[in-house]
Amino acid sequence: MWRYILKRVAHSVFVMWLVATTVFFGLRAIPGGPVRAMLGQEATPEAVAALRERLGLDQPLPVQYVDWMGDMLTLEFGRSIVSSERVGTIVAQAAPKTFSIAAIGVAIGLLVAIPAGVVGATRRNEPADYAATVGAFLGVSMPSFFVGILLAIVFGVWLDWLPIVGYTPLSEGVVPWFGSILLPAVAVGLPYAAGVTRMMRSALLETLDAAYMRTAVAKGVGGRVRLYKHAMQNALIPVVTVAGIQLALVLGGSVTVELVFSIQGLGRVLVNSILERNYPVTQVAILLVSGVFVFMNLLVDITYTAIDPRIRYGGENA
Amino acid sequence: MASDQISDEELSGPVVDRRTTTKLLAAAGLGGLAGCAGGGGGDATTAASETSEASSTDGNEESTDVATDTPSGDVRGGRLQAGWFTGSIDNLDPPYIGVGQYFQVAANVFSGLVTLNEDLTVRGDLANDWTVENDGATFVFDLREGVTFHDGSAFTAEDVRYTIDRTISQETPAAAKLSSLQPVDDGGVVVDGDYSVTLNFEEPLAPALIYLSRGPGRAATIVSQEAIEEMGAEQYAVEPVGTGPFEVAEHSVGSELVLDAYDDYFETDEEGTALPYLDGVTITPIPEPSSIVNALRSGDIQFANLVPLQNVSQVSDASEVDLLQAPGVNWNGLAMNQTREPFGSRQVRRGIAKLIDTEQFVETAYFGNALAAAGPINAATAWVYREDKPDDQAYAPEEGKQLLEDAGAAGASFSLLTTESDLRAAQAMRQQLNSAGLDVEIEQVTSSTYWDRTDKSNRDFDVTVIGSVGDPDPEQSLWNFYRKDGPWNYVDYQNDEVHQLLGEQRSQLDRDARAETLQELEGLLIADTPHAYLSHQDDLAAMRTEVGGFTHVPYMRNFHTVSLDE
Repeated sequence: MWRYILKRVAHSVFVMWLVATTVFFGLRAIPGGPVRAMLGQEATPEAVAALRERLGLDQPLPVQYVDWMGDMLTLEFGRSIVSSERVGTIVAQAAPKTFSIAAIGVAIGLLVAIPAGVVGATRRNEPADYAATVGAFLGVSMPSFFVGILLAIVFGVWLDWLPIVGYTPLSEGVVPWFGSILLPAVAVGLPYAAGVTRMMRSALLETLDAAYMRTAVAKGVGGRVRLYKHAMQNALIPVVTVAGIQLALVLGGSVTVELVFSIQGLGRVLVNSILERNYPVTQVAILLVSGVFVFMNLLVDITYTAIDPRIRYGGENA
Repeated sequence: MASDQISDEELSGPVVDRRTTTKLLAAAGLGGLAGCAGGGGGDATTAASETSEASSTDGNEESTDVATDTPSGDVRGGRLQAGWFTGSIDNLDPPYIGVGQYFQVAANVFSGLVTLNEDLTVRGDLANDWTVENDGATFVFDLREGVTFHDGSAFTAEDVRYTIDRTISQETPAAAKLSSLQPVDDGGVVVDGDYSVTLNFEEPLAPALIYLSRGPGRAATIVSQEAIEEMGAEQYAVEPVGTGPFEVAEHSVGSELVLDAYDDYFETDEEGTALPYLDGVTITPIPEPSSIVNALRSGDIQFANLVPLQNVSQVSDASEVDLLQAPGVNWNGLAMNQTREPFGSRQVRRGIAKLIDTEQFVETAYFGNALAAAGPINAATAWVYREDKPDDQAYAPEEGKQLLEDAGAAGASFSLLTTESDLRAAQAMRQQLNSAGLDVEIEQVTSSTYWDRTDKSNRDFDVTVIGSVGDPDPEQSLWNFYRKDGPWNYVDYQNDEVHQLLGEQRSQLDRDARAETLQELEGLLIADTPHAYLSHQDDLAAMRTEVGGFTHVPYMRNFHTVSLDE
């Protein structure tokens, strides 16, 4: 099992390096540079040249790449080209917002999805199942962006219950913090829940039909134990996979939701920095996001070993 | 006003009277503004309203109501929540600011040598008094004593010298405004004691006082040498130290800019109460159009510095929100790159201009929140604006098609470069040109690519919709767009006469003479058609009804006289 985990970790490090390199060269292949975006309409050619030199953009690409790799390994992230803030600060301020939204969003999503999926599977073709299916269908078809705008109008403008602009840090109290991210979290959580619900339902239906479930009935295992111990444990494997992959949906959704609720999270930082060709910020933000993905996938892989002995033992022989 | 010649004596401080100011602003191209914010709705406002069938007149009325709404008694206190229609406020270092929305903020943190009053008379800001000598080429400023920067250090004449020297020697974008100043160390800026400073220009510069004001005059908005050296220029751009009514308490770029009232701010209201009235302003960048409007309606913000054009009707319909509307001091047009065929031919350019129904364009592209333009000079600058501009570009589709056919350019196909923010205008343009038989495609790029492609060193585009976003004096954008080597001469326009007239008008202190020169210049531009002139966009902001005391100077968002009613 340890060899399996070690292999996954080594694999993750390689993926990260690949991402870093791709991002570095990919960004510079996009037409347009940061200097013009910064200086705007009034820029003189002299000012453009001077700024390029100051930012080191006049160096050959391989030299820039080696410098940058060195900086990354020593955790020297540099400064934003546009606002001159430290990239470390920008990302450190943005990340908690996005991760708060994502974490609460996932929690809300799972709290909705798992029961809904179970209800759908156990009361198949009953009204409750139809309700869950229609709900899930709506969730899948409505992007977070749209859900966010609807929530803002209903809970912000009409009911005036919750703020719809900005983020209150956790240090200012749990309740204000929670209030400021509840709507964005619901907006990213609902589409996430929809995907997981559908997976939960179909996986559980499949296991409920399996031969060993009939055996369990035959040997007199009670309904509750049958469902939660025998069926759920097997049905959860594809659900965990999907829940992990769908995290991409949550982080992707948070880009647009942050825009709707005017929260300067990672998503907005990323999009703005790409549009402004703010290379240092884009690179670090992408590395952080992909780092989270790689880590979550690693975690999912390791979770398999816990819930599925076949992987645990198979891994030892790999 | 028998004579519009402004004498040195009339121009001298401490307060330029309203009559002289009107002339002065007029000379600088701000005449329309004086009329507009004067409370009674002067000539300029009337002219603007009359020519704008689309612009809502109650917007104008509301803004004048607000201007006269001065708070009384104990109105001090409260924190204004403001939304800024941008992703982030990246730079607040005045001479480096290239974005109008940023200097709307900076004008609340910094002071200029002079500033514009609520009724748009020019008065001293950091200057108590000044005299104008040498036929308008020399300005002697007597500075206010006892003014301090937000960090407590004293403001002196040396700060003026440092600021101007920095603007010029660091080749900042704003340096062009002072291009005719003599070398700073060789007579350009002469410091005489702590509280007197003299500026010497090579030649009379008609709009000089305006360029030295807070807000539009970013070239001499006084910065603190001590603070810049202590925190570094990079940090200063984010959390600057000035002498203005508000100090930066905290700035988390992209999330929140917290401004606190500066307790030692030098200015008071007429009753001697210290300004600003507010305890502070919190500015949140809100880049998503529907979000800024929702936030205003829900009360999350009380002031929006811009109203997205597609949301104007939502804002005017909301019960607790007032729309602030003023004629825009800007223009835009269809720029045709003369290094590309067929746009090298004036006949072709004029033919294309004649295919464009500007009234229709304004309706489609800007939801009617703009005036159709016949030339680059806008109605807000009433002293030089005229209704009867030459009609070389007037809508005449058959004539236009004929011109194109004669030039062998009928059915020409080309691409229209645009960014997302101008996409709607681009689509309206394409629709009009294509229905007139041309074959136009839209090419949408990001703004960084856009500036790269249009840059003089590349000129990699066919046509694009571009113009001036906010120049209170027409000369500023015309100077940059149409001089042979002008920095914004994207279309490679080369005309000796225009080039020479641009130089000539700068030295004309006589308003009528200058207006005549500028009109002659405008006539040449309309005939030559480097741009097909399209529109002047209205300046739109919005605030909730509890906000009082705001004066809507077009393009400015000054909060020092704002108060909140409960």
